[in-house]
Amino acid sequence: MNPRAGFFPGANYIVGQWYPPHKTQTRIAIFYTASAASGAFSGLLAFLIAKMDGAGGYEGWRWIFILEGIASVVAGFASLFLLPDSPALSHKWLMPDEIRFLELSHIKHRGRSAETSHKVEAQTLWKVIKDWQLYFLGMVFMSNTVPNYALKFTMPQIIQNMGFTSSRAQLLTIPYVF
Amino acid sequence: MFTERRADRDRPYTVGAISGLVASLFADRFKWRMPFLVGAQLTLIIAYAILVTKAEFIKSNVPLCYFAVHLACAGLYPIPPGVSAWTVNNLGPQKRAMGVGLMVMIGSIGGVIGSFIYLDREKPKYPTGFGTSLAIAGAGVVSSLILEVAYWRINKRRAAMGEDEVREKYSVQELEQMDDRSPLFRYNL
Repeated sequence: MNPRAGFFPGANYIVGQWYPPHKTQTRIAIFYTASAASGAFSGLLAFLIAKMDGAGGYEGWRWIFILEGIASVVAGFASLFLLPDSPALSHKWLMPDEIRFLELSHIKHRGRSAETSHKVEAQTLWKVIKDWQLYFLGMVFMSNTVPNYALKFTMPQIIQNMGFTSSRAQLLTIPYVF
Repeated sequence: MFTERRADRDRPYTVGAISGLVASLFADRFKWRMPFLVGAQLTLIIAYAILVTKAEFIKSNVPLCYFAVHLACAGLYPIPPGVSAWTVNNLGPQKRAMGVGLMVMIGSIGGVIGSFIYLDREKPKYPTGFGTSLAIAGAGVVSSLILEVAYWRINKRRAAMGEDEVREKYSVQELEQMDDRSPLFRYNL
């Protein structure tokens, strides 16, 4: 249902490693907006790829999975080399002074992380589970994820009543669930 | 025809995307997340209040419902970046990665709930679906406000204690272990 479930926590965390607090939300918004924009784009892309129906003996829908799957895998592998987790790992494209600046800025705004070990990580997990604030933050997030589904059901009805046929309308209102 | 219908469908989502970006730009500019989250949640509540009352008589209310869908998108899209940034900014270095994971996990449970409450037999009014959505959106507003008040009070209490006093009381290691519970940590409102 949602193959990107693992993407957003990681993406949000990496944005936090690179940017100070007052530059974080706009960067994160670009991820979520790109997710919506790609929803609009993917319909068109699928429409075009489906025209490959019969090529190599495969149906059009198979080609959609093959080509879009390859693109994701290539992007995933590329990010291993092109997306450093933190400034400390960016010697290839940043000057030592620039790395130092980003690291000091990070420590000033977000603090320094202590030594980690498996024991510390177990303690951290417990601290996270006990953190009441995270449950309220999760509740705030749910005020997006629960109502989100309504659009899937109301949009077809509305667009249908704007004068379009039902099956076509259903097809064209595939929601962008991130 | 194809492109015209696509445009009808895409327009609300375009409004949503713009709303998400603009709200985030303002939240970053003012370094204040809560008003843009609560503003979005209230927009969402208004939109769903329109939809839940008019969805039954959709044929005679198409323009109003189409407008409400735009409003719904405008309210939905600022929430994920807003709450994500709020979480990232309000966790210390130790808890940040796992904490963001837990928050997103709780949010995703909402997706599971959402997929079960719009019952086919309740079409077109979906009282269970819209009712639950409105209740959760209301609970979201309350949660935002509870967090805002709590963060503000904790910051105030911590500010009352000077840094020298804190350093005298706790060692560097102890402060690191406290993460965002350290008296030197300030929450982002």
